[in-house]
Amino acid sequence: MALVSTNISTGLDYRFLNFAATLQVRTTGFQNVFGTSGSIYSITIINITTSGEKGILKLYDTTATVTPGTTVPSHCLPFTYSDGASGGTTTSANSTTYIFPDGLPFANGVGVAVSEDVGGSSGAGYGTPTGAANLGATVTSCVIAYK
Amino acid sequence: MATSIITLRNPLGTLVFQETALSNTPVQVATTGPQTFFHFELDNTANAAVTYYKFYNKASAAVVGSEQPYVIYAVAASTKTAVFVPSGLTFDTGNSCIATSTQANATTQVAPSTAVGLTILG
Repeated sequence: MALVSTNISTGLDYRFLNFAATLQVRTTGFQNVFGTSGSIYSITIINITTSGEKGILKLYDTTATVTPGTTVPSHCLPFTYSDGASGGTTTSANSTTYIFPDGLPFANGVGVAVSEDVGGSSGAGYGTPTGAANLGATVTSCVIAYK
Repeated sequence: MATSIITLRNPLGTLVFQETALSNTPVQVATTGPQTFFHFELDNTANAAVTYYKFYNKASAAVVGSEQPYVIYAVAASTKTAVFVPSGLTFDTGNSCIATSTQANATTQVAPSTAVGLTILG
């Protein structure tokens, strides 16, 4: 069998999306960010903060408008923060990475939002963004690989 | 339901948690914290509908319907999903988990048609 090397610039069929500072607008969800169905293969979230706030990345399998606190997410993925000094789950890491070797399928599309909590039982809202706005301001980067 | 927790010998020391039949009754993975997990195997091949795995940051069994989970994974019908978390996913106080066909954190968390499999490395 011959060894085959494929040029990454032509062979790579993943889409990479970096929310960067746009994810700071956490009271508003992001609707159908890839514009198509598919699967997420990795997520890296960098959350550099002095506020000590963890966060929850919420992913919605829908093409519809995402309203944090109302729309029910499909996946809730925690991410940490850099100082690890206070508030919530602590590690010394300043980034959180999720890898899905077989892909995390979205039959419709991908909606994205962040908040402090997953959200409780019915009536308590489903992850209504709570707390100060500094949670959003601390998410410096969120990169998602998708195809 | 068959639950097992095995700690691999040193120098690995890795905890291997396995539940062969997880449903909507909370199963305790870790009763103390912090506990960090690095890999999840979520086996929903037995069901023709999506199953939601919900993990709680608790030292005791979660009170389903009144407490909020910390992590939620949705696993598509008839599939098995692996999740690697190289930096680790830390539960401060402990961990319990359920599997349900109910997406929302409503009062009632309906059991999946067939109990599902779960393996965690921590």
